[in-house]
Amino acid sequence: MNASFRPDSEADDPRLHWLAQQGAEGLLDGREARELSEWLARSESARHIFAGYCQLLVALECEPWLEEAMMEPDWPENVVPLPGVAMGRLEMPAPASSAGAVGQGLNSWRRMAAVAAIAVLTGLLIGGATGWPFRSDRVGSERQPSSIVTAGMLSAGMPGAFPKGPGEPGSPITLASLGDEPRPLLASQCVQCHRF
Amino acid sequence: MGLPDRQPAEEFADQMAAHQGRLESFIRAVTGDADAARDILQDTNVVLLRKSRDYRPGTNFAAWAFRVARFEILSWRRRAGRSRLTFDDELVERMAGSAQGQDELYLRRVEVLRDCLSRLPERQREVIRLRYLEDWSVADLARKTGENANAISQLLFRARQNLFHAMQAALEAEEKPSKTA
Repeated sequence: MNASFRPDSEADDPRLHWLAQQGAEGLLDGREARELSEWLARSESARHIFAGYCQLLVALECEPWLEEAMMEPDWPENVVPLPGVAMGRLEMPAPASSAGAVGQGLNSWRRMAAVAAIAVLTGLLIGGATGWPFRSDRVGSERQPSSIVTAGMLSAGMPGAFPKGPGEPGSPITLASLGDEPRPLLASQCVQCHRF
Repeated sequence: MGLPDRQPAEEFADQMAAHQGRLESFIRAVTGDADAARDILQDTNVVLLRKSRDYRPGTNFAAWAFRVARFEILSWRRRAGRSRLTFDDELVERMAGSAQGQDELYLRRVEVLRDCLSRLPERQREVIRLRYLEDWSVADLARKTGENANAISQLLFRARQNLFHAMQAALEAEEKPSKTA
């Protein structure tokens, strides 16, 4: 995919960028959504811009290394202003503690990877030697791997499972542990029959 | 009890994790609905996990995952009320083509994002950090800074627009040497 696109006359329109940003954030009202739709229907540049903002916002919300980089106290070492943009600090009190920020840092795809690994390994344990990882054709089995996987994802708060809670800045996030959530589920749903 | 080869499971988990951003941004662009995109991503993940035994290491995970995501988007649109849909069917198809065409740019955008963030003016960088890292809403930011919500919204708008243009410029600059070579 070529990064460059042929911008049309509307590509630099601030209104398009505003609508694309608000649309990517999910903040458009009905009239604005129709306006964005019309723009997207007629302009390839508009589609490129909207898809680009969706990628930008998802990366800002979820990329773990980015969160870690922004938490570094001395980052960035050299601030080079972008053209035409005034410098200045946003005056506001510091967050009450760093614990919330660290917790938010965990709300990332690394958690997803951990949860997926737990889910797949759970499937391995359940599927055993009969297949990898979720065979559903075992005769006489009442297990429902997908519900276990879903429960594991939901209990761990996988990104995508729950939207970020509005008005909860810095709220602590707890990670699912094998002992707290999957193990009782396995004990109640699986061990009685499979006895592993 | 014998366990099957774990290597495919590990690779599958890696692929799942590596594609979350690409999938979510694709779904968000096609639906125009950030909340729905998170639900659809979850449904897509469940389907991928359920069908994980069909996955063969070394095959094109992205193509498979995007097919599943497109199916889940259509399924969600059938379930959702008409008033919930932001885009009509024709625009969904157009956006799917455009967003999937840009998919490969996701990782490159992420790669240049750190540098672009570091070049933002401190005030804009700070508002981006609080909005997306600390998950403060515009109302939170306005209340805690004493500025009005419109001013905060404008500051966020400028910050995101500067990031977008800086990323675009960085990607185009990367392409120039390869074009001239």
